[in-house]
This record gives sequence, C-alpha cells and structure tokens, in this order.
Amino acid sequence: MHEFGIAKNIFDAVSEEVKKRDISRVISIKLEVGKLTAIIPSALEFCFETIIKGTLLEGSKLDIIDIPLKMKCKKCSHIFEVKDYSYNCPSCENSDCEMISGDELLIKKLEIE
Amino acid sequence: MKIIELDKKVLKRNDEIAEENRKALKQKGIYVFNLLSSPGAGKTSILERIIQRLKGRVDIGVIVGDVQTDNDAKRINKYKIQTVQIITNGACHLDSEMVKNAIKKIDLNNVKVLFIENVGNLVCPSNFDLGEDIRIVIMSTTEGDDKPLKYPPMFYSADVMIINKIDLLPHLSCNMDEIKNNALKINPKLKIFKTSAVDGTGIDGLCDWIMEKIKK
Repeated sequence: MHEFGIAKNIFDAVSEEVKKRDISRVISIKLEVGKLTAIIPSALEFCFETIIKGTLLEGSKLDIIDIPLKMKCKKCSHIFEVKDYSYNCPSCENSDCEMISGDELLIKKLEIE
Repeated sequence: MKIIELDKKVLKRNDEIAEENRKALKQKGIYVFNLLSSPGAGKTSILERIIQRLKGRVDIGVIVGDVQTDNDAKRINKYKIQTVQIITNGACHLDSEMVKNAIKKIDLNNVKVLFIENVGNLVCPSNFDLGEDIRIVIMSTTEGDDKPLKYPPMFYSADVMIINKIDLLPHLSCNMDEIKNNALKINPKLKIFKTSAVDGTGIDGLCDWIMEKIKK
C-alpha cells in the first residue's frame, strides 16, 4: 500500500506551495501518474482524502491523469505503447528501447480560488 | 478561480535527500547497494553469505529495514559489523530520510561498502531512491517465472537481478531461461547472477563483482 506514502508526499508538496504562495483554497490538484509507478488511482484518492481531513487542503480534489508507458526503439526509432508485458519493439523485435513516458509522478497544476 | 502551473515532482523531497545521502557517502568513498525483493526471497541470507566472504577484505556496514522486529539485524550483528535496524512500523518501503537518519548512527570512517536491505516488497520501494549506487533485485526460483513481468517497475529500475534458491531447482518446475528472458524483456541491461544462499553456489562470483565495483 505505497499509495499512502505517495499521498502524504502530495499533501506535503502542495501544502508547501499553499503556504509559500498564500493560497486560500485549493480546488483541485492535477496529477500525472505514469503506468510504471504501479499506483492505483482509487487507492491514492482514498488515502489523500483521509490525509487532508481537518487540514488546510480539506475539500481539495485529486485529478489523476494516467500516462501510458511508451518506449522508443533505439534501432528503428519506432515509438510504441507497452502492452501485454512486451517491452520489445513490435516493429523490429529489438529489445534495446528507451522509455519516453510512464514513470511520471508529477503535480502538474493547481486549481485555486 | 485560477490555475497555477506547478510541474513539481511528488517525490522531489525524497529525491533531494537521496541525492544528499549519495553525495555524503561518496565523499567518504563508500559504495552503496540497495537490496530489494519480495518477503522471503533471501535478502538477509544472501547478505550473510556476502559478509562471510568479504569480512576482513573490506569494511562493511548494513542498514536493515523491516516493518516489525529487529530479527534481521540480530542475524547480521553476529558478524560484528556495523548494523542499523530501521523499523518502519507499517510503512512498506524505506525512504531517503529514514536512511539519512540511519547513516548518522554509522561510523562512516570505518565503512567502505554499505548494504541497505529494504523492506520485503516488490512494488513500493521501486519509487523511492535512497541514494544508492546500485539497485539489486533478488527473486527466488519458487516465485514463478513470470515475476519480472508482474512487477515491471522494480525490474526496470534495478541494475542487477539475483535468482536465488537455485539449490531447489531439481524439485521445481521453474524454468531459469524463462525468468531470464522475462527480466531482460523489461530491462535488457540487467546483470544476472544465480545463487543459493543455502549451499553457497554463485556467491563467489557475486562477491568478486561487488569487489570490482567497490574498487572502481
């Protein structure tokens, strides 16, 4: 259940901004979550709601955007989404590919009042 | 209503402290290995074997993470090397701050290699950089050949994979080539070792490689 630890980190990171920027209320937090982080959005939302009760972020919503795991083949430059556990290039079967998206865990935007 | 563009990493603070750890340890000339696996794959047993081989050749320090009990630290303490137990009290992974606090309890002038035994878990620890130089994931022959495919973040982020409990192979339907292929599918750069912490097979090769890394 690492969602709790992640939710706590989101809480700390956003709270820091709220204090620094003197924000009165955060309506929503737009969060990019890459597939490779193995985070379950519903569990993360649940943990976040639990953590923010009675705090300056109470009532803030998490808006989670799933980012697909995409790789680029180093041989033929083909860009593909990893599906069915295959990390090899579907075009040329090369196994040496680099990740171009999928490990994000990023607070993209805050919607504030 | 207003929008603030933030682009802030959720684990920014963890990453920053991990970087501080890495710098502080590097300054002291200490090489750091983060050992990860599911519970019961053999992290502590392999660590004991490594200590038996390397003690006297290099100064070793160990940080052991567990959800509860200091049983693993007691096992390591037998070898009279510096050991710090972190009990996470429920947290399923170590983070860089826990390691930072643990490092304070170690006499860094008398350590050349530091092993951090993470909490047994193949999901959560993969997100948390601790400041290590090398990440070693251990899986055992009893866990299913498709383990790397089931836990891609861990195998993707690792530098080394140890397949442990090879002494049990005659009793299992485990296919070593299948494990290897599955792991390399996720991470073609993985260096792979095969060991038995029970009879010691493969530990010499692993220790030679560790010594080479430390010397560099």
